[in-house]
Amino acid sequence: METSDEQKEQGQSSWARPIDQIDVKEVPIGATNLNLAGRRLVSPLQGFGPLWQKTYRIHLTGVKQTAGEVMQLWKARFPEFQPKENHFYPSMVGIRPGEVLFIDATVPALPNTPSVLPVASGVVVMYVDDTSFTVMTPEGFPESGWNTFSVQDDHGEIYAQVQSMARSTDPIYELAFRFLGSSEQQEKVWRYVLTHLATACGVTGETVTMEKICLDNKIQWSQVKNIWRNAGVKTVFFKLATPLRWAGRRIRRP
Amino acid sequence: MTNNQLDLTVRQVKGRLSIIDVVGDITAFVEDQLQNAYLQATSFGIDSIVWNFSKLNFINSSGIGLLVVMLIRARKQNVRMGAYGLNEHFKRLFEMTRLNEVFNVFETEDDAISAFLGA
Repeated sequence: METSDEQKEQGQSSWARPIDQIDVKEVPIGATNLNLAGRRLVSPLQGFGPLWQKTYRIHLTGVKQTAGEVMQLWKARFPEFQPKENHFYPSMVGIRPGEVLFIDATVPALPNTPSVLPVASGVVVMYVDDTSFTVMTPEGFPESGWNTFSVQDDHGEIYAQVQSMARSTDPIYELAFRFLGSSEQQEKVWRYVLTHLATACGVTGETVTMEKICLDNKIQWSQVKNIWRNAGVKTVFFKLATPLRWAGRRIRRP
Repeated sequence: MTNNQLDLTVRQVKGRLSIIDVVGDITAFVEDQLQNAYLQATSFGIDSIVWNFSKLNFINSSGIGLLVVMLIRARKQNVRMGAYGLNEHFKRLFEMTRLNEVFNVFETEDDAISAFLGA
């Protein structure tokens, strides 16, 4: 059980440095820089709704690559594997601890309807190792908590997995998850991601399994205040005001 | 990076508090061990659990997730959770993941016992 200093250092370098607030240094072209700068990160303990652990898994049958190689591919092409309604912007340095990943997503306004409501936000890479990485959400994001993306070698069989541990952040998001189709959309997104990763590894025909466990069914009413930072509401108003900002710039122009 | 080894020892203090001594790594592979230690700690009918992390070697994000699960479980059973012996790296981790807002973090075992048992 003795561990060398080198191993300890490697373990420490896997983690992002703690931050009080998100500091946005660079915004990828096309990304909406909204709901990220100055926000704190939130864990599953700070959200509003019940705490869920959802695990999505796909068996990469017959894949030739090792778990580490599949993860390398996943990290390198992470934004590519996302559906258009969950647009991730590639970061300049890739998936590294502390990196901010911008997301422009859309969510449905009603169940079984197209995703039209915009949500601009992002996540921070909190932990990275050879076969996994974890992202953590900021205040105002639809969910409070983290998502871990991993590739496992189970006696020579390779599996790719997305596991989230999160609560809805505020009452608006909780309603959207329960009644407006956000939960179904989320499932669709991670199934899409895993299926496309599998395809990139040359694996087709495998289905994604999903296990959903309610770790805590308590509503945290003390977190109702999170509603004031709701990224969805802010994004809708931001988008609605776009013509006004454009007109303002035209008027100010000499 | 890690050897996925963990030793957990449960001690009882004054009949009301259990201390779990952690030696090794906390990763997804040790879920059952943690659950068993928690069960053993609560089987004494105590109202507080303190984790001794002074010999914690490594924790990954799945390990942090397991600690969250333990916290939730403890809350449901009205068991208070505390920790001591965190080095600077692990203290920073607790801050980043905001576990420090729900875990009572102490410098020493005596501090933890005094705080929980008012000794």
